Amino acid sequence: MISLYKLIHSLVDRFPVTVVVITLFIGHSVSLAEPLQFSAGGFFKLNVLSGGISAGGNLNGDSELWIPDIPVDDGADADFSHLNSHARESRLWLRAVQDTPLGRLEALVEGDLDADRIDNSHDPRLRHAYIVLGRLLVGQTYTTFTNTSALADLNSGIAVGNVVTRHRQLRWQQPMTATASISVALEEPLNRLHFAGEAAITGTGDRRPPDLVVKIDRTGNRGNISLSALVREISTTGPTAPSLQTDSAIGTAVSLAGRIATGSLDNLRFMFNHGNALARYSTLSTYADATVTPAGEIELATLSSAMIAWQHFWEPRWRSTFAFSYSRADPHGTSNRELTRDSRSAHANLIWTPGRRLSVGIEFLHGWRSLLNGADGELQRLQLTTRINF
Amino acid sequence: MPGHCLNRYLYCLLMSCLVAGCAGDTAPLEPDHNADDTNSGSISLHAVMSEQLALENARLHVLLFDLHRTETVLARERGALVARIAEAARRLQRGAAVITASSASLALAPVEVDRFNALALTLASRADTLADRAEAGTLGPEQLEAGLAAIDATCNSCHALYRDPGNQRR
Repeated sequence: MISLYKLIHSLVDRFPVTVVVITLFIGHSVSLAEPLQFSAGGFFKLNVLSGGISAGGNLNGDSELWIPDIPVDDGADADFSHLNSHARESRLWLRAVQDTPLGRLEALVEGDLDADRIDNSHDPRLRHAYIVLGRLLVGQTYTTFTNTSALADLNSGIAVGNVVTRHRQLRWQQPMTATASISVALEEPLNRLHFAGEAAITGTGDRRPPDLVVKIDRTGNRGNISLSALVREISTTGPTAPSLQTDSAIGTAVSLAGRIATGSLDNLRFMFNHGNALARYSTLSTYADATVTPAGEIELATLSSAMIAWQHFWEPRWRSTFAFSYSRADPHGTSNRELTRDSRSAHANLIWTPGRRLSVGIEFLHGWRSLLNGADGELQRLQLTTRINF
Repeated sequence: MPGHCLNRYLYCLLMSCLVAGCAGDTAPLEPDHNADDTNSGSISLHAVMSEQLALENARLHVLLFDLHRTETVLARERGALVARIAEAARRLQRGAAVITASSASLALAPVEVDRFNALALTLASRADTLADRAEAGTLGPEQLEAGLAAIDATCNSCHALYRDPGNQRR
């Protein structure tokens, strides 16, 4: 582990040179003589939500499942009187493809309107911007640590136990057999720290070695499965850290995820995640990676999360997903007792796809969380979604 | 690393081995490539292949509504499915040739034999067209649906005329 850590440090010291070399390498591979194929696409997605309002009536929490905004101890029964609607999840992507002597070159830029909401204006947000050349990927996309085919098919977004985050990375994917491959990635090192005595969680900068991810995946006729390992350095050396003292700790995490066919189209999707470097990668960043004690020491938070979802096709044009997920963090004892400790979500939906371009669905969502002080609260929502692909 | 964490890691590793076995190739959904293509009897292999084509088409449609994967990843998966469609269409084409060869063993009037063979040739031709387009990478959703509908129409025409209703699968 120590030699691995030294290797990461070595790569980071030379990171600007590495990026320049890779950029030149990719630039050199683009042949001006060959045609570059451009395509564009996306979808329009309108959500109409009926259910309880978020804690404080937060516009973002009212639009999507946002764990810290689940109201706690509000004494309210299930309430479906609050109505909200938005189209902020609508997406647009641009894609360019070219065959080169070094392999297929693919570039993708994708954005949506899902940035923080202030009123009915929705700021655009970059979701993906990356280049793939053969087995090399450079840019921003889903973390290598996750298995995106294991994410549940939910109109309301993602379940609490999922691993899903997008950030900059450098990834190499190497086939091992015809059905298995290994991926190694260096990814953006952002921290989420909780300073004891403060109410909020603070995001810190990236003056650290990149996160290291190794993933082995296997695909067969019955589905796929992946096992990922993550190594991160969590530290207080970021520029926004209020503590004068600096400290750091190495954390690790593992994730087992996959999608297994249970019928011709039916499938079971699952994710089991555990580790003391998992917090920023799972549960929609609800938890802090570590607590900084009054003495300025880093205490990593162990997090366990899981998601299981069954997708069933009543017939090819009618499908449902039933999903349950759970997440629990065990932060240091000096943490603010009003931070979230456990969270879970349950989802059931019915989606109709009358044509290749259109889907209409209804989903019931139940969210729940409890705090370190023992208080808890829940949220129910019905969500009607219309999506048109273009 | 605390001992209980190590135990959980080992448990995850054990689970991965267990599920990896389940995700393997031990029970393929597709018909065996080496399966005997000569059976055009009660449950014909060519009908199974046609169903396989329809299934891959349904999977292709499901991909269109995947929220979480990027367009680049989805394009690769669509490419893999189209390759499987081409493979299934080629097997269907070979199966149609076997049907023609088996017509002599059926108790059919000469005029019915001609009609039977004509339908088998139509099936082979339509499977060939679908496979050609899939292999060339020019198979858009519209062409795929049209190709599958044409194959289905041929299958249904033949089954309606010559298959024992008690043995119908489609």
